Amino acid sequence: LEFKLDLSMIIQKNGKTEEFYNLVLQSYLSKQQKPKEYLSKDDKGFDDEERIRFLNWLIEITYAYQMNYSTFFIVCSILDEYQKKTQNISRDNLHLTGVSCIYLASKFNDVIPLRLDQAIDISHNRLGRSKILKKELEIFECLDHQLNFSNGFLFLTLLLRLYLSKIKDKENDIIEI
Amino acid sequence: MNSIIQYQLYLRIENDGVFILSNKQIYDYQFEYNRIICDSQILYQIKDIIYYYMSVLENVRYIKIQKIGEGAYGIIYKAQDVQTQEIVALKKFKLSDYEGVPSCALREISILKQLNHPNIIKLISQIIINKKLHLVMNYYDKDLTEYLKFYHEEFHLKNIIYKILLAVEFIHSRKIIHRDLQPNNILVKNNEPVIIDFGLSRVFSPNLTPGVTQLWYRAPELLQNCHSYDYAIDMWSLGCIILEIALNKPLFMGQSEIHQLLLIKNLIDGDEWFKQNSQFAKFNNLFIDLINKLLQIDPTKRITSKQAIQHPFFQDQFAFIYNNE
Repeated sequence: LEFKLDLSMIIQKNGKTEEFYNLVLQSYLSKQQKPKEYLSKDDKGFDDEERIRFLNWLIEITYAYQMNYSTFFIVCSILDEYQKKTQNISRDNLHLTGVSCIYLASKFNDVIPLRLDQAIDISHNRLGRSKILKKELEIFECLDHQLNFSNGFLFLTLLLRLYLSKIKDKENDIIEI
Repeated sequence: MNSIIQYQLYLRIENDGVFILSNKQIYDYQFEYNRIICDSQILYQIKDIIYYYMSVLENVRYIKIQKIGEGAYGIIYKAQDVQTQEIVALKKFKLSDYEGVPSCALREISILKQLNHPNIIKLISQIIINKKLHLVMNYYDKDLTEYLKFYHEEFHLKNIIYKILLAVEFIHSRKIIHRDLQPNNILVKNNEPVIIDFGLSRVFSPNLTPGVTQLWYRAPELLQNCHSYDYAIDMWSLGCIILEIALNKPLFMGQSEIHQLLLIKNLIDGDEWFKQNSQFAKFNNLFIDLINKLLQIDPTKRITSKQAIQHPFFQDQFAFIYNNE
């Protein structure tokens, strides 16, 4: 998560925030080496539409269970990273994998973590206790015990924080994230 | 002789429980399917047998020697690596049937994996034995409280303070807040400090729990139940730890949150609080300046870890904690 940004760019470009934002995000993402193609496109695999439907549902879940805003982004990164490594998320096991990802991310990131009962609740009682726990451990080990993904939300929070602190003292124009 | 022992070992593997070493001596220790727990003295005597036993079961890697500590998360053992003969610390987490991997273990593993620094504990590996998660880490026998019980040269103390600051700066530059800095979580070996216990630490986020850090080292904004703090809480704990190194006793020993807040308010009163107190008369001016900047009640006025490293106290080679006169 190391990134330098020259604030003097803003002053020169004078107001075009959208352009500036794109510039920052592009150089940030290229440093992180994020996967650009999230999905494998085979017949039974889960495709773009399936993923978007899942994420839509996930927004409702994070809202209903009052999770941190950043948890949504972490679930998303875990799911993508897992798919990138194993390529075996299919339409059938998306539900199980998704719920396990939510449970894992919530335990990692939330102030009050999700309980297993609640995780089963999310799945409308279709998934068993041991199934979720087994999948959770499998994902955790597959990702090499590394859940600390950088995400857009964290990036923007840090950027905003630094920008606000820089307004107070205008010593130099370069900020580090 | 050998054959008798082997025969009895074979018996005990099936039965579990008390283990007969020879005809005269009976050794009592806990014996489970792939691990052995016993006293260190007994361990020395039955070492050969254990190694024989190890060769039978190849999946045994660590022998637990002794319990070191215990907490809400689990138990810490001192253990020996069978393959390399190295002494390591094993941190055991309970993997309960109800909640799976505990959240503090999740955070500790994924954060420790990112941090690679000589003054931060190194995670050697993590294994699952009998459905329990074990973190394998380097073993150090002294923590800072025990270290301070003996007299040490001043330049050693200054070096320790500087190394702790370097490590904290490294942690903060990775966007991680430690949240549990205290002398018990800083181990010392050959006058080099090592920071441990990342069970409470987490990545920076706008919304956090205020109930972290041990009470004596808790920052005032946490005592006031603030939900959106930042790296400054670590700097407050560091200020308390550095003064503890210099004074050789904890600075604020509160019994409750209110009491703690009162102690802080009593000591830090106005900008020139350190001049009124006779305790601090023997300290160097530069050192007092550093402490003053760390122990600011307003978190935005507190210096960051980066600024602390560049403080003149560390730039000046001849500036020591105490005045030499």
